[in-house]
Amino acid sequence: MRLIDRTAQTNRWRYRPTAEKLLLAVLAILVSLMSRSPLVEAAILALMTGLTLVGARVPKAVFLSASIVPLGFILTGLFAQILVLDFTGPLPRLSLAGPEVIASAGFLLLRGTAALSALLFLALTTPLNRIIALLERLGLNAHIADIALLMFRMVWLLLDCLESGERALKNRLGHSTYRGLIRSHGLLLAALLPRVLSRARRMENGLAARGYEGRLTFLGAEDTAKPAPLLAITAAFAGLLAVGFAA
Amino acid sequence: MHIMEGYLPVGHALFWAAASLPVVIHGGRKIIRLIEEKPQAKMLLAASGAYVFVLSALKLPSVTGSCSHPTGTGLAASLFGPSVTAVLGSIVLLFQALLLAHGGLTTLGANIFSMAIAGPFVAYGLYRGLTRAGFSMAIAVFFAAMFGDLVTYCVTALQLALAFPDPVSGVFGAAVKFLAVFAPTQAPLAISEGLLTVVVMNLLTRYSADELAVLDKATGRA
Repeated sequence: MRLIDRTAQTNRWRYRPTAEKLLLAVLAILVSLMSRSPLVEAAILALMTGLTLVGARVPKAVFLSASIVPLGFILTGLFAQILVLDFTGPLPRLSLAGPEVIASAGFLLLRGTAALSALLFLALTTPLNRIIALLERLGLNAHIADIALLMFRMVWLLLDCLESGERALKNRLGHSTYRGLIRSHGLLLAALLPRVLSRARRMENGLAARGYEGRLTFLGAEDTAKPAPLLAITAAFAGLLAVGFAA
Repeated sequence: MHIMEGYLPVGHALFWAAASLPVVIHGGRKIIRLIEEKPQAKMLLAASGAYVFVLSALKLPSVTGSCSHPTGTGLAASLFGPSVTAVLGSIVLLFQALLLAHGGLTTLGANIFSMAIAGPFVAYGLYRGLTRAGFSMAIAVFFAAMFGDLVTYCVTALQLALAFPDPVSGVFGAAVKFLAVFAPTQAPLAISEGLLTVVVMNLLTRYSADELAVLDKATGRA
């Protein structure tokens, strides 16, 4: 869980404007969804993977590790798609689909992988708190944005508590049987909730002592977005989409 | 079970986003009203959201040799109520997409509908219905959490079936296929999540009654 955040905080493009990276990723995903051309999908996959690995210098191992679960889902779903279920006989019959369905499933695999590369580009180059701050500037309610930003900060503290508790229970053979595992997890979660709430109350008292008036302000360290790169990114993807429709 | 980025066609992604939006907006307005009346509720809601997110870091045994994480819909709906869970769940799903690459941005609407709306509302309805019908809290919590998880999985399978109908047997056949493909992981997971939620709720009601009362106030359920 920490792998993606650690990479997002330390990659070479950490301080590039969030708006540029978000626009790039969102447009790449949208173009990959709207396009019907495998060439456009392949181009997006190559472009986004290249930007992540070469531009932002995200290690290949991190990129591959973050891709495993989503690719597993795409491949499992693909398995369901290439089989045809026929209920017309006395018993349901399962057979391999025709070449058209297999080709469309193959295209879906390519599209899913291209869109995933764009999502990974965003996740691995941009810290989540900066995306939330940008969403707030774009109109997300300030209270909801504050909740999300506080959640982001609390998640790591809670994760430490959860992991150390889990390790302690495992070392005391709490995970040796199924029954023990469920009980250990239950104890851990039940112990975690009062701790979380107490941490929240301490934070509230601390903020009140510092003159908290209902809004939390966080500093951002990245560069300011300029209109020219944003326009260039939009134009490039509009061109790519047009090529896809023309092909 | 999250639908991954790029998997749903544009029309379906937009439809599920439009279907989820009214519930999330309703829950969001409720939260904003609560915070304006009681600013201290902000910290508690954020802590609750972080707690829901951290649930997904816990591994539960599924089929032999494989592990998966609980959805937390039953526990979250029992603790915070379904409308607050819809908003916290939406934020958690955004976090999962960008911190774990589970789910996605264009599939966020579909994932919110199955995991932050359908699952929690069914779980909460079952919990309330069974406790009112006189069943013990343990039975009510078990079925609420188990069916909350199963409904999430069935809705996801239906969303996939609507997007990719079977060439011969249509949406029904595709739903059967998607349910069958993911069942070996999801069915044992739902039972494990039901049992886990019973253990957690038993311990919380026995030892953390004060904290539960604070949560009821913070989420507007008191």
